[in-house]
Amino acid sequence: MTAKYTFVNQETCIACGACGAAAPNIYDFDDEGIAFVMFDHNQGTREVPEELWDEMDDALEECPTDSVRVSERPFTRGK
Amino acid sequence: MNKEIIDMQEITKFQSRSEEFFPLDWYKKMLIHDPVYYHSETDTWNVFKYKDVKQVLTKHEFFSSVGNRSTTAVGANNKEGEIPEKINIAGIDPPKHQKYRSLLSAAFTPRSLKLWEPRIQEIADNLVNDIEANSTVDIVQQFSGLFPTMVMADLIGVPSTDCLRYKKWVDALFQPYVKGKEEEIDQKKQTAAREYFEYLYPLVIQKHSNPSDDIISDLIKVELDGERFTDDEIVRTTMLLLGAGIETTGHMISSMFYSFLYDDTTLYKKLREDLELVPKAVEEMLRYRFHISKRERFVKQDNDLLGVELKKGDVVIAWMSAANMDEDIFENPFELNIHRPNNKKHLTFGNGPHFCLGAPLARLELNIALRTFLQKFSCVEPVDSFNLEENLTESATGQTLTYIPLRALTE
Repeated sequence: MTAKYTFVNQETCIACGACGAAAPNIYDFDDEGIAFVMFDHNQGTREVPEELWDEMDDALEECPTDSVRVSERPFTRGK
Repeated sequence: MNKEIIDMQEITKFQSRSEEFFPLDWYKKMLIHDPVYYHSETDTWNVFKYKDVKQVLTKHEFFSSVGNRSTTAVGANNKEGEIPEKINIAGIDPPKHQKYRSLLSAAFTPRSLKLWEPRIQEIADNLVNDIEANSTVDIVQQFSGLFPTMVMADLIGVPSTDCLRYKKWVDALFQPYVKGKEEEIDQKKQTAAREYFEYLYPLVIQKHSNPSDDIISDLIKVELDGERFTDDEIVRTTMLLLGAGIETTGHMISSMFYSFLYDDTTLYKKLREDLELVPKAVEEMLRYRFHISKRERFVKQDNDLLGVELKKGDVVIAWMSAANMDEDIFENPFELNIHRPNNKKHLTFGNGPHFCLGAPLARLELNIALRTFLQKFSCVEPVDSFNLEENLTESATGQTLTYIPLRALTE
């Protein structure tokens, strides 16, 4: 079975709130409204539980700047 | 400022106000026959397909927001009506854009909105309570025009008792230019900007010593690279926000009611029976009944991304509302269907770095407005004598309703 990982590219995030609305169990916002992944401090290294995949896919689809990133491998930040 | 305004009417050649209000036939024609269309009189490229519109809006390295022509008239050509450089975020590209946008975006994030939701709900409750049941009411006057105006006034931090005055100023400031009347409209805009400025400036000064939980107080505090907003810039910033937040949402609410009365007369009852459907209905209305969303971009480097040779400096107009009718993305696009699985994919708020700053607020307002109305009234009925063509007017959004009579019934 595959695993899934996610993080938000904060360089391109425009604080529109779409990801947190679609996937409130994964994404939250800082004071400026910039999104981040809650459970691994936006590192993209912790597996996303399967029951959250649907909402994660919605967030991925709805992000207007493609800042929500999803991969089957853990992200190595700085890439 | 002083951008040349591109005359949209030359491109669309709409024959009537009603056609512009709901231009589905034109979209269909362009989507099928001229999806990438060069219009020589205005020297513009026009794109209609979803994938093309999305590319133009997102690929800012090819399609820049910086240019000297525009499809929309914003503000006025005098010192009181100019958009402050700092917040003219629609006219700059990343990376500078993000930094400037963040000055404003914090006020509209989901977190701020959570705090504001009870205030917005209260405004909706009061307005809906004032609507008399079982008699003929004008939704524009009693609800769709007032609601977003009062919300914006409240959020910005100006007295909502004056909201009819804001509405008047905003209507003038965002009125599109009509051929042959440019001078007259320009004068009207300048007067509105001056009056607005004189009204608001003292309020901003007062907020310095009496800050509260509102956008003016936030703007007083905000700092970017050690620089703060001047009071003058704050006034002009609120002018832009008021305009962006009033006409658009008001237009969507009145058009939504029009749709309940004339598109699908069973929809209102279905929503009333299941309020969980309200967010879906709102999204579908944004796709189907919000016209005409469009944005201009300027080719930054020669490319053929749209399948034609584009040269640096060419103007491309992305017709978002037409892309919302693209059958490659939406099944039976010319039908109103609140149950679309991909109903949030519409491009009404744009896409890419310039995605509508106020989208979360607009969505919240639309949901609250509709739900509150549904909770009080069991059904809405049209009034026979209504003539659409006679009750539309030009606005920043295209043609918008000035009057829509209906009977709202209670059980």
